[in-house]
Amino acid sequence: MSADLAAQRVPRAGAAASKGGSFVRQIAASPSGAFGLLVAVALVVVALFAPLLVPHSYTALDIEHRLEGPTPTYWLGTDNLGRDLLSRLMMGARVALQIAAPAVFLGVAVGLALGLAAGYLGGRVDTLIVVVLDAIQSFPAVVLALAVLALLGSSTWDIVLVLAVAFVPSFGRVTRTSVQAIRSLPYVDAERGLGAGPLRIIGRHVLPNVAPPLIVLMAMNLPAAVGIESGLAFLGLGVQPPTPDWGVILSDGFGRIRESPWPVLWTCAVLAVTTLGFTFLGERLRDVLDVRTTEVRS
Amino acid sequence: MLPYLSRRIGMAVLVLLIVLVFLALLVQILPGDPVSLMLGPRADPELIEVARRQMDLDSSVPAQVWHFLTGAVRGDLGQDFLTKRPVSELIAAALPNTLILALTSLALAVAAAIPLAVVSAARQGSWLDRIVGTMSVGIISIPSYVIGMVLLLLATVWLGWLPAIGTGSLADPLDYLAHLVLPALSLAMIWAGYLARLLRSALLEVLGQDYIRAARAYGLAEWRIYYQLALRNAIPSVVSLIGVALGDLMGSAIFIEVIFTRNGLGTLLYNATTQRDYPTIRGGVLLIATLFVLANLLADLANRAINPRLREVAAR
Repeated sequence: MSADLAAQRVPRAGAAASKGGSFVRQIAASPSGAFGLLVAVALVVVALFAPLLVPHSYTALDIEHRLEGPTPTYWLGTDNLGRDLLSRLMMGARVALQIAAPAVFLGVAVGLALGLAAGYLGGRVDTLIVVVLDAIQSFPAVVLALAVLALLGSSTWDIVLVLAVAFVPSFGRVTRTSVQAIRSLPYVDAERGLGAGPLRIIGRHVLPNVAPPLIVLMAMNLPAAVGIESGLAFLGLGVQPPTPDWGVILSDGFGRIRESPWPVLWTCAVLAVTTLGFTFLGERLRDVLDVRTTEVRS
Repeated sequence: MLPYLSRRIGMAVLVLLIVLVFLALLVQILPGDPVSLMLGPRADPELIEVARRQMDLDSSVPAQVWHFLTGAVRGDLGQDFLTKRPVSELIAAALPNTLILALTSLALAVAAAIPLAVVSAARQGSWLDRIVGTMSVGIISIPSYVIGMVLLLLATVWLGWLPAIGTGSLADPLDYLAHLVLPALSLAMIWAGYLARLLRSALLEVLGQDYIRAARAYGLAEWRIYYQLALRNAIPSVVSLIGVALGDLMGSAIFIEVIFTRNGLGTLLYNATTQRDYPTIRGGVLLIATLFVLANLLADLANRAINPRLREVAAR
């Protein structure tokens, strides 16, 4: 999903690549970039078409074959109720992206607005926003989620909201830094002298320059969102059991790890490949878009 | 230095104040009611009344904030709802285990990062350099619980190695250490590669400078150039990150403690959330946030103290 987005936005961002096709080729030019792109595309395809692609129903019980390793019928084996692990993991991709993607987009939207306000207005507004972002960032994301979800319950929307709040500071900071750098450039100053209003300056100069680092950060925060979301479900605070969330599958498997390591093993593999893929994609995007940021984690 | 010091500390205090007010108001902001969550919807009204009084929910909202603030300053975080023990006591019992875990894994990560960074800086473009480069961004993005579980599987289920579950007791240091190995290793792996890569780029910057060339011309041994000259000037750029790392480790420790059923702040918080024991959740979260703010403050100050260039910039 984020790969598509990047491909659309980049030409406008004024990066070296001028066509969508050559941009994708540029990303795939490095092995880790190609891996990242492959993972991202595969995950989005599986998430979109999971109900059509699954070999079994993800709720179908086969108690006789519970906790089995890989077999010709169940390619990855079965869980403690004899449900097909492959089908559940595929549906899990859908659950993960349904939470992670809106959370990251919401985080970008709010972070961009706050960062623009702080960087452009400066003064007290800037100080206030920076202190609030600092305060949010003084909770590790998981801990913030813990405090809020314990009171709020754990509907999908609540989880999205909490994750978005946790991501706002990283987006806000990157935006603020870019705005400050661009605002005082001579040519921007000159245009302001010619009577350009803040909206024109932001639209013409700030946004195109802020977009590349934000795109990179989105690719980096998406795997973080998936990791936290599954982790919360694993702790019993996120998505709840009948839903085939990766964290739920992990928690089911973990309770019976001595009987069968397969559920834990496959889920860990899927989580590792997903987070690695998106992070490599982000790293590659950073190189291709020529972004210099130091922020990696939220 | 002094104006910077007071401003930086003032900022940290302000952030902590906001955190405190936020946690005090959380019960009001969010629609959930902690009492009915804990006691269930059909609880005895009298019991609910008692619980509300215990959690200070019968006071006015500003009074609640004030009580929580002044209480926290005095070290009084209220009462655990189930055990009726003071939250501060529960935290004090859990904190040492978590601190030991976080600090041990940080030390392990740094100990691994230094040689990795030196070797990959010395042999730029070698296979080791490339592996460190790729894995450093990779491993840090993998959730900590995934790494913990894979290590747990490897060690106990397949190798039958180490008593992986539980905490051990500090009275028996060897036993405690044996229980510490796997959790600390899981957390250390996450940061080792990342620290190594940052240290590598700092090293490369230092190695390009004249005094290193001069040292080479004098015929100083290569290992002394790296470990004694270059490293000393490369490490400051990594110090400020250690504060971030420590905070991140405290968050990841929740999962690691739950997976290895280790006593600590993480398990305390986890158990409190499954029981919806709000006073303990609030206290635990406050403590983690405080530690995080403190770690960042100390890292920034340490960075200033050992990096004269930053001081000059501030003085100007």
